[in-house]
Amino acid sequence: MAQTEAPPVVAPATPSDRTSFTALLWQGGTLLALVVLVILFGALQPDAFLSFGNVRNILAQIAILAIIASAQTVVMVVGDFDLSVGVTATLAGATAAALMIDGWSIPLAIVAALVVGTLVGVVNGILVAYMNLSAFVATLATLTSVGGLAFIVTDGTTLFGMPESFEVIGQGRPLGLPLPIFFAVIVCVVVWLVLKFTTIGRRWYAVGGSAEVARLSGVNVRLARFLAFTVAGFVSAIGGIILVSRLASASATSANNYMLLAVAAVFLGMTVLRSGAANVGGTLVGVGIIGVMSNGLNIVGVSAYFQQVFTGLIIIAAVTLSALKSRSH
Amino acid sequence: MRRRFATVVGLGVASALVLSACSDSGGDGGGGGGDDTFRVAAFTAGYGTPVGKSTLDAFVERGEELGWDVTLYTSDFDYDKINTDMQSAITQGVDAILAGYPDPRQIQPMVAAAQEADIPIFSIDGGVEPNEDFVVDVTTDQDQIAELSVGALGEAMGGLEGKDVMVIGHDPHVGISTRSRLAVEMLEEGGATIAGGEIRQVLAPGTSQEEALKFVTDYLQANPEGLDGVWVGWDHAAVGAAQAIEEAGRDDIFVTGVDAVGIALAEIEKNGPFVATVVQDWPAVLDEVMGYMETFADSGELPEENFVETEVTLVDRNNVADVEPTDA
Repeated sequence: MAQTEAPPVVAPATPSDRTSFTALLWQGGTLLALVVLVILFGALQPDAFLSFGNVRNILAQIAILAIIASAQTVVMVVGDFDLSVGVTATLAGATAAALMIDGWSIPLAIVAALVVGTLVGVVNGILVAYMNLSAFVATLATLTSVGGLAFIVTDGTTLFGMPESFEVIGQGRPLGLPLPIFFAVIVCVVVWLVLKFTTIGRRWYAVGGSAEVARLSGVNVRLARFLAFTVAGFVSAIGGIILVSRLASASATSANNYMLLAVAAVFLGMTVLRSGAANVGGTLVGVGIIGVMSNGLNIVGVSAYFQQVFTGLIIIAAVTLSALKSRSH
Repeated sequence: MRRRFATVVGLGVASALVLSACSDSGGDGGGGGGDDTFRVAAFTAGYGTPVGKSTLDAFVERGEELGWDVTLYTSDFDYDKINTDMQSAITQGVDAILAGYPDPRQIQPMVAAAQEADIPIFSIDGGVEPNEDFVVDVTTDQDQIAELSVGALGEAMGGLEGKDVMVIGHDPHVGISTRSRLAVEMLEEGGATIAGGEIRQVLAPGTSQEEALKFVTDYLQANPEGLDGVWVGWDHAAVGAAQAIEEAGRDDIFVTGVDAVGIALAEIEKNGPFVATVVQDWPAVLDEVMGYMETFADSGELPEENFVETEVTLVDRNNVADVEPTDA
């Protein structure tokens, strides 16, 4: 007879636990880090950093990361992670660019790119959910293969010369704000709504909490995990298309770097909730930290090498905080 | 169990068929060739760059036309993979090696294996000075690249004296690193100030357009009146810098690049901030290396000099229409 583990029972915290300064610091540490970064850079370069123009710059610079990180959030909610979100974005963007250069209409090329991204997600979903491969191995494999496909689609060169109207998606400025900010807001709100208020969203959280308990509760765990990867592929493709429009060019590696940053943002965001679960709000705080740090260090004139070191240190701090929190539960 | 075995066998056969369908068999040279076939192992860690890919693809094509058995090993700046692949190739036996845009600092295991097996290494753009690791290294004149591009930037800015110029480089690439430092020297000698005090380093060439876009956007945010020009060591990053300047609504800041890739030529034609680039004649460099290798294949004779620098050409609005993109 199969034995099942009972869900972990969390003892209710005493009021003193909840209200102590340490607990507050523990809980709000990541958000506090963002505030501290803003104050720090604001003090170092008050005119430049805190200006409306720079806030707009930061929002524009983090918009695509916010989209790709929200894709990663969905997968991490179910307790997996997707190493291929960056290359999926690259491939989708390159596909759209190649098709437009070949004369396809903009809407058709975008739809095709979204289909490509979704298909990558479908493959990941099948490998992880139905073939029981670990998410690390499966998405590492797709990262490699999809990365190769991006080289094939671009022929290793830089694609450019898409219709000018396509560039509006990434470079348009309604109300004086870059259009990618609006796309990021829409995507993040939709992902948040799905996670928070839909059945599938709750099932994803249930699977992420305990797949076995979710299964015994009647959740189709495989389908839930499959859908999470599929959605991640689709959302990553949106990010890739916007990036290509923003740069007015597509290369074979243009969005690859976003994968690590997205993972970092989600990890940072996981520390925001007491449960330590991935969540869109927290991810946006993580994205904000990465964006503010990059922009602030650029403005202060710190070299890109040190920026990379700082990003790594922040990831270590976030993961450590996250691990300590889950241990304390 | 039997069904699973059949599935595994089926997948294996299918994979083999797919691999054989995807492989560039090399036509006549395939199957190992006869004893007389001149066998070449070519490699580049820069196959992800437009110039690296187009040059090495052209080498393979032309080598096979000559009846050589050419195998190309590539990576995305992963020299560990390159060293491993090339050591295997050397063990299997090749007559010569072509090094495409190598970083000489990172190929020592392969060089040692080649020297032990007495296999000559012919190189394209393998550094900025003579190197005994190669029987010949044909490259472009970095001094001339820096001189022409700094000159064009100075001309667009109305001279260098008192101007603030951002320099964007990528130190892991020997050529870019060298010309960036030469450019800094020339700019400072001309009286310009390096914006930010040092060369801004891009982390990854593949994402350099976006990185440069952020560098310049953020710098202009903090120093709206502190930038007159941006000198960039290669075109993709230069395109990002030009985009940042356009988005800031500035028409008094100018950009130069290096490489003459298609997207850069299109930018120069637009009459925007991107004013000039430099074309390094890689097809001519390849011609020269092919010539040396043909001589070696025919007679076993090695080149007399082991370091050859070729001339480069400035591309600006006057001649951009006549220049073929190097990544076409």
